[in-house]
Amino acid sequence: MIKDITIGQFFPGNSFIHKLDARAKIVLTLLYIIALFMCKNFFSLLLMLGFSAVCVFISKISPKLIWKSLRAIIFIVLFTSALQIIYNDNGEILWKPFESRDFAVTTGGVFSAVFLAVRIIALILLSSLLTYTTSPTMLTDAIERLLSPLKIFKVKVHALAMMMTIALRFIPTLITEIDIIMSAQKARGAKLDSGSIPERMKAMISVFIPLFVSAFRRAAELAVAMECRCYTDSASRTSLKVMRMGIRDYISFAVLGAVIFGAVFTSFYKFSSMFIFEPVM
Amino acid sequence: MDKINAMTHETLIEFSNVSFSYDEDEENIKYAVKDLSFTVKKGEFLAVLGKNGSGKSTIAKLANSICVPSSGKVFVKGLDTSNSENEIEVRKKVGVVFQNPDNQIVASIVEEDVAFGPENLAIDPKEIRTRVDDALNAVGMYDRRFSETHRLSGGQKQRVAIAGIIAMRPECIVLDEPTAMLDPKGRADVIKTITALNKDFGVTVVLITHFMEEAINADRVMVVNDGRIFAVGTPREIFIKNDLLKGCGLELPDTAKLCEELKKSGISIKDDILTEEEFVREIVKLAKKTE
Amino acid sequence: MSLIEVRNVSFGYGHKTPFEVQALKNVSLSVEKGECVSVIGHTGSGKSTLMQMLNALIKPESGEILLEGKNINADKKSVAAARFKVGLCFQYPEYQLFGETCFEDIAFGPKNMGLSEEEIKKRVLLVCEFVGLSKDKLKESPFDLSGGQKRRCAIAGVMAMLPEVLILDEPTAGLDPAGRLAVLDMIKNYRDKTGATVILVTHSMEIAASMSNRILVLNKGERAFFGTPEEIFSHSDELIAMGLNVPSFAKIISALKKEGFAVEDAYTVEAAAESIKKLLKGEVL
Repeated sequence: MIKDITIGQFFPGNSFIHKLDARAKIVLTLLYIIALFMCKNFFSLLLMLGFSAVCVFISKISPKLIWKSLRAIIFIVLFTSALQIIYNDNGEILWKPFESRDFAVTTGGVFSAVFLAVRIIALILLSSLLTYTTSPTMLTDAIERLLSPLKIFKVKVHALAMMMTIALRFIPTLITEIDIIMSAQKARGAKLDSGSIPERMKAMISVFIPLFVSAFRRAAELAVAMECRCYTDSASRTSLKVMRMGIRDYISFAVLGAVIFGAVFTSFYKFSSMFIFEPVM
Repeated sequence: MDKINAMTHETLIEFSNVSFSYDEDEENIKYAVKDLSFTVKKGEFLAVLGKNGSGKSTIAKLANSICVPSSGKVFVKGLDTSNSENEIEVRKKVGVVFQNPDNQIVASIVEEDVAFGPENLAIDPKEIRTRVDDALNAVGMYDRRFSETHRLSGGQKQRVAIAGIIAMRPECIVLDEPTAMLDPKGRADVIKTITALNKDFGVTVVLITHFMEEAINADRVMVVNDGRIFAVGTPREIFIKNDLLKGCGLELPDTAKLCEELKKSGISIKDDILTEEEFVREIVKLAKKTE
Repeated sequence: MSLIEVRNVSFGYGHKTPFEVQALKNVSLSVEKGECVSVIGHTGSGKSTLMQMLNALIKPESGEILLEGKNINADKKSVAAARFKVGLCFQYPEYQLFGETCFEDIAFGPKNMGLSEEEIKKRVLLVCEFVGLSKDKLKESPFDLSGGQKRRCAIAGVMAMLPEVLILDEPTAGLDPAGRLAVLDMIKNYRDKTGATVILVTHSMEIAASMSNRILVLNKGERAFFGTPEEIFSHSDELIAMGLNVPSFAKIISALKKEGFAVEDAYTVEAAAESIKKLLKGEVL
């Protein structure tokens, strides 16, 4: 069921993480991702993973939901890990399945496979937390404000943000709509999930045309409704939610700063052979 | 919002010989509304009845300057809607709620959607907060203020759409078939909300619909057919005009149908019965007489 | 053997998310050939899920659905057979129109059934009669039709498969009184001409009462009542408690009963008028 997708959804709450300023959250997430790529050993990486785990805990988002978003990328994780095991021949040889071939599973390969998997998981953990704990409107508002310096170059930052808000608002509506149209055409015998590839492609026309027609109809109606509510693209708008950086946000920056410092520091400090290892990218 | 109970004599909206056509084609032009003249008084509840394609939806668009008359004038509190400088001022005074709730909700979260209008008017954030909370309370959706809009039922979405208009504090709210896509419970909730807005908060209401039962609470009913006004009067005056209503493609209210059926079989029954309760009372009276 | 048999069917959406819904709980019923059954229940009662199960679009999580005694989800062949034997017309079907011409759109179903060109043409012309769509409209784009005509064209597209069971989900939604009557006439036409079994999902008790010989009431995914209109409307208090409407004629009669008059039960205009007439002429007390 397409309806089961949870990535990009917002789960309202009252936690410390929910209450953070959306701009702060975006910047913190970006800093975190950059720091992730600076981590060179397991110790620093585990520190980062630990940080995102603590964030999940504080946010009171159910671990089940986190697991759902991780499950969606499990294929990517396995695929990159498999590539590392196959192509990385650093370190000692652990297993050589074919005597005649060059191929071997090495310590380097296994290490970098696990290393990359942990890195991707940490990345997904924190970025899905960003969308889970921030309402889409707050997110676009924050992006609008973070991008506002671009106004100097005559970029219509506000219009961009409004487009994002509307897109986010209509994604669930259109997903439901696709579901219904597909079911309705299947009920008329459309070969959407059976039949040959060309047959399926042809059947998809019966889904896409009504979908586009409906999307344009919705767009036209929405435009009228927005005009009725006094929307003009030039207006200087105010916002229900005032964004103000507070003590929470500064604390969060301080905590993340400390974690990053710890992670980067240990990346360059070799204290155990277990942890010294450079993945081949 | 102040409590104003009685309908006043102050004219809020005035249609003066308004014609409007969606075609640009000058020859054999087809008018959606033709030579329409009527007024909406401040504080009143006006129901506009008509079948699909009778031109009733065009009235909503003309009332807040989304469409401007091809000929004739529409005035909102004396402001000419065809003057583009008045556009925003007119829309602040007259808000419109449309048929499909899905296509008028802009934001993903209930309270953020309700705030959309006031945000456009560049109102101070603190004031927006009060307006949003008041509007959500008025439609009974305050408890759902943090909900995602796409998870609401049709009736709830429509109430959020109404709140979005209320938060702009208009003097008049025009609803274009707001219940056509709703289930019976959603319809009842929306109609209750609209009636309360008019009676308790003094908001002028223009309800455009083809459901006769929804017009029962109106102060005045206007029947529209083929872009023209066929009849205007109180619900009691209009609902006894069976032939006129049928001629306009409308269905009689159930009590009226029953009265008609009884009259056919020679039973003399009072003419102006609106509700089921009134009907039952009348029958009880008649039955006691026969005893 | 019943035509359709639903046995202990259950289904849920959104498992393992905070939005989990149990759409159907252990529902059983059977429908005989040639019946017209109305399905009533408020939004979220599981009506739409059940209807989609009847033509194998949704597979029950537990329980089974038999069509002419055979499980419709047994294998791919039986699924395909069920799709053609059971025609399902969704809510607002005009939003699924896509053909370049009305003819092409109506012919989509029959084409998918693998019928000959000749047979397809015959069927399209036949269903145009059922729904009252004039033949010169067939060459036009369905997007140029008026709202009411679009609905006709879309319903014709399902009828053209000549299903033995025709299911319509809220076929009158969003229509004005004249449009509602027109759609109900199309359904009556189809039944009269083909002898098909019809299942009608509706919010309107009046439509259920006037069209069907049995009514199924679903409440929160469970079968609340299943019986003749008389049986169903005798439970009017329970129906109202479920948030459902009762025809106002039935309400009036029950109000008169509460006033102490022994009036006959009725739920249509004619019957209610007859019953009140008897009361006023002193034939009952």
